[in-house]
Amino acid sequence: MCVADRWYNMFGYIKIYKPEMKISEYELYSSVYCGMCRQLGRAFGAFAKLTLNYDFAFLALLGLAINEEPICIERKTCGANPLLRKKCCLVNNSLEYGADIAMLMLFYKLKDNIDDSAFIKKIPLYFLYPFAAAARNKAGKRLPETDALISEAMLRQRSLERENCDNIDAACEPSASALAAVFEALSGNESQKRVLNRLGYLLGRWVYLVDAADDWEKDKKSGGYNILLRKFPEIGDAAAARQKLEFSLNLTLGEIFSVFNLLDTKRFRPILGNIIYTGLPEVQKAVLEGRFRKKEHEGKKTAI
Amino acid sequence: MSEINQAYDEVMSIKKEEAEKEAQYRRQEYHNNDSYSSSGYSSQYSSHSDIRSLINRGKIYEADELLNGTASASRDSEWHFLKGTVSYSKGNLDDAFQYFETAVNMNPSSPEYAAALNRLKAQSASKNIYQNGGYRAGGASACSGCDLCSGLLLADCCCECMGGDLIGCC
Repeated sequence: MCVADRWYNMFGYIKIYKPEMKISEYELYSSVYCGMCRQLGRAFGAFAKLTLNYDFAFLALLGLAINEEPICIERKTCGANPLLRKKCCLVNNSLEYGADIAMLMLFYKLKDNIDDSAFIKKIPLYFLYPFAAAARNKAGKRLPETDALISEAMLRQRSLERENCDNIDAACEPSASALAAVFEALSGNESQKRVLNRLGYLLGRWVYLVDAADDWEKDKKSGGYNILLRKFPEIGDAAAARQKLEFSLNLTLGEIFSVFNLLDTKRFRPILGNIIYTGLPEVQKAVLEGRFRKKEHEGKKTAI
Repeated sequence: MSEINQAYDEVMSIKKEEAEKEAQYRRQEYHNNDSYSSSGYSSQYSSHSDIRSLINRGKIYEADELLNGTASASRDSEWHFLKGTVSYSKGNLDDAFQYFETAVNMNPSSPEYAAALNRLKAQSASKNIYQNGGYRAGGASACSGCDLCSGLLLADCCCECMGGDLIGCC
């Protein structure tokens, strides 16, 4: 798990803000999260369960909110806590789609990290590679177009990084476009597709920037590509560098809010709203103040 | 909420009408231009207004191509505004902001440019982003003078309920 931690941390920024939630909403969200975990295990094996994260639970929830697929919740035993039977959302198209996308993203992220790392650090990643590749093959068969799209976006990202791109918008573009396509596929309705495309683009952009702010220290040490380090190379202090990004992040969040207002959701609006209006700003604040990862690790310790 | 939606629809329909009118007008102008200028080159102003009508019709990528093809000498405030609009539509918000800012600097008297810039500025203001969950904003560390006084008053009320008194004068 700790190996996975190091390279798998691009995800997990799109999450709920629990204190503002109703208990019924929280239970429903948890059951979708739980269903996502089961679906990952069912379709891709136990290894895939370790990669469970909030972002793709959000994707599945968004799909459920838009398509009004019937959902079925049952109490199931959970591997992480065998004594507790948790409410769990049974498999449906949205969960399947979310899990497939998660595996595609995972594979390309892993591949990218293997290319980037030094030899010693590559070795543990090579052990994960066959699992990720098998999962990607399975998911790619179901979603060949998305697979091609993400792979192409990753290539663009690599060449941007090679060129040491210092334009914020250009650096975000590949991730944002990939997510735009992923979101767009959730609906068959033309006008809805347009809104989803923009929501995906902006969320992809926001996640990319938040991740850059979060990884500032790590990338400074390792010399990895980071748009913040490229754009403001003169700033030596993490807090100051992160603050520089607040304007871009705010611009993006503000736009996400207005796009979300245009989105026609059939249900679960309060949960999605919680994630968009409070979850994202809360995560952004934590990242900008440099307490996001720290909190995560503390959270893990108490959970175990 | 329904009132807001109604107003929004109204504004959008007015905008649509305007855009259609403009597009129609441009089309006519375009034809006129074609009829007497066989060279295909139109004047500076009309080239930008063509781009504007493309944007109004939602043809963002075509408009961007035309904008990128504009010689740097003729990149005036209007060009920057249109480039900003295109960037905004694509989701490239940082670029959009910069183009709008340049457009306003080049032509501070245009209300259209200023409105575009101000919209982005307002949207990105921290107070609008972190607006939710007011009770968290205070927290234990931020205890203003106001909190202190109201706290004392509350404590006084509690004491009075139980027969005591904390603040003698009230």
